[in-house]
Amino acid sequence: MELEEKLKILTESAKYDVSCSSSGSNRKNRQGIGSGAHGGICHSFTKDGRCVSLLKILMTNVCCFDCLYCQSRRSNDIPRAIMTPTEICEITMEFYKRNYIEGLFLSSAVYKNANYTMELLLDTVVRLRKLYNFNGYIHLKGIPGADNLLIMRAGEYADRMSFNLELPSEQSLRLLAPQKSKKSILSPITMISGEKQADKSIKSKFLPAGQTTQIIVGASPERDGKILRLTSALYNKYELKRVYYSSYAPLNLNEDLLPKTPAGLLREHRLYQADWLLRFYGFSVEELVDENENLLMEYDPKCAWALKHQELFPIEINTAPVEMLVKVPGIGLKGAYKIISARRFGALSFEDLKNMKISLKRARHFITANGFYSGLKKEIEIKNSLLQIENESQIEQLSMFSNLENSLAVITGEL
Amino acid sequence: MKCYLYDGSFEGIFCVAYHALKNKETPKIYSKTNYQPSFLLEHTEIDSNEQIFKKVKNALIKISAKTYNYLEIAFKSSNIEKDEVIFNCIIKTILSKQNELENFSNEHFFNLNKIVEAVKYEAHRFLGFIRFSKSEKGVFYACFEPDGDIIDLILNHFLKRFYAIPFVLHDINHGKLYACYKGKTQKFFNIYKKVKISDNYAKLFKTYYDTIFIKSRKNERQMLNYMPKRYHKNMPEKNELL
Repeated sequence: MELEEKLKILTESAKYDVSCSSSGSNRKNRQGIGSGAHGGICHSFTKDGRCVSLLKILMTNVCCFDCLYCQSRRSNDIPRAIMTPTEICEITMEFYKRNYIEGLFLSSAVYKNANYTMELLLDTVVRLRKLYNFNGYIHLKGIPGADNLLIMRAGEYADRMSFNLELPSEQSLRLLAPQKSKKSILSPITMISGEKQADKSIKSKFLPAGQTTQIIVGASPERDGKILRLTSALYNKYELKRVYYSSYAPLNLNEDLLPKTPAGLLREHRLYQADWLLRFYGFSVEELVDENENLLMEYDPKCAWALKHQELFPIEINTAPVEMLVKVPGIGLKGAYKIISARRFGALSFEDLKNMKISLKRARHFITANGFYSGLKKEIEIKNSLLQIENESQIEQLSMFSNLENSLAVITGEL
Repeated sequence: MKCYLYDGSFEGIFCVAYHALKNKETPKIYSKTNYQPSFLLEHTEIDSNEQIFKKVKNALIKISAKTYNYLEIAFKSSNIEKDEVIFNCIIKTILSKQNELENFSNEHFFNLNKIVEAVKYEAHRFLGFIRFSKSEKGVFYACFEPDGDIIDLILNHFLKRFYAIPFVLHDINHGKLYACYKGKTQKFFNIYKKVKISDNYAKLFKTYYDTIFIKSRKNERQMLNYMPKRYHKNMPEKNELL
């Protein structure tokens, strides 16, 4: 098979993986080729608007597992290909030297068995680092069930590793991915986080960009509260850098155990918003979910929270502490920073906020400037206005994902 | 109304600011090349003077080195209002004797931040959007067409990253060409013609780019927001002939 053909097949199998970030590593170049860029760099953007940062491919899509939700499952009849470690190294280096990519995102189906696959992946990264003197970014997907030693060794060479949790509970996992177990996924995550926490020095060469994971949403009955608590534990206890959510799509339609309808991207979108609020805005899971343990679909989670806590608002932007400013719907971290910086030079009016390009569409109902309030008076009016803004922005962001055919493609080959 | 004419250089703006401060005037400022005489304007020509420039520069750095650094970056912008913003920020900083960069409710500092952000953003974009082609002799050549004069802001990144390979960065909009190898750089100016090199990997990358695209989620507007059309010219994945 020609290299180009292989590249096509293995990209096709990897492309639905959500993560493409190249951030978090400051790896230095030691007279070779490549370096880390801490903030990450996007090298191109595809016609679906996603960024191309890493060469994202599977080593192989030949799989011995038969996970119900996955496109590369053994029982599916699709074109299969394998790339050798040398082929992967060569193409990564040549792409990298032309500045097409920021590094490699290497994943794989389980070929023969977990250890055999992990050995090949390890071989590839060791070659890149040692033989090719490559110091660019490497994100390696771990194979659940592979030997701990192999995983730890890979961590010495990669910048980031990820083991996908896939499903938010053990029951769902047992039902839908019978060859995987909670233990086989969680134990490498625990081990890696232990190793990272034991050596916190900046010089530590072990996975400088940490680990991430991915959860499929909507294939199993878990509610948002459960998913967010899991997320929260992953951030706090295991110090994960990111948790990605992938909205479920019925790829294998003749499976009775799986829902026949896609989960819809709105839920995924809300989870990402809540995830953000947990990490950067000081919210807790309990504050965000409603009595049914779910996130409201009508408003973004911050709006929903603010509407529930109207006794706290409006706040005065010239005196409110930064923790409160960031909780105002429509004011983000950047907006809050601009406000606290600018108010040191003098009291701010609504006019000043406008000049500072801070959007008041949502925020005006929750703030005063120099004692003035410019929002609507009645609660119901505020709700309607916010609902309208929400609908408008959703039409823009989500319309292209909302039908069944479109979201069919959302998840697949990511192990 | 008073106006000052200067030579259009960074140093020139500082000299104009010096005279404005000294004469306690608030003039409009014009670069000599853009100035169209008008009977409403009473113009004074200000010559650039190295010593005056240094005097103002040092005074400014003493108050806030970061402000000076911002002004330097802002000058690389293609924004036609940059000179006036720089001029006003020099005056305001020297009069108030403090770093006012975060005074976002002040028009001039807000604009300064905006311009600097835009320049830095473009520079950051080009860390990703630059494309090298390998010549027969093994030199990696990249030409690009940025709006701002950003080559100096991105050079260091590539010097470190591609330490072991000889490469050329060529900004054909500003005519600057830097040839680099093992941390050393040689600079050339006024070279506006691009070199054409055909490279087999360009086709392979285009294949990758076309395959990673999820067709059912087509959203070209978003792609163009992140990667405006004017940057496509030198990107192989956007070359439909490949």
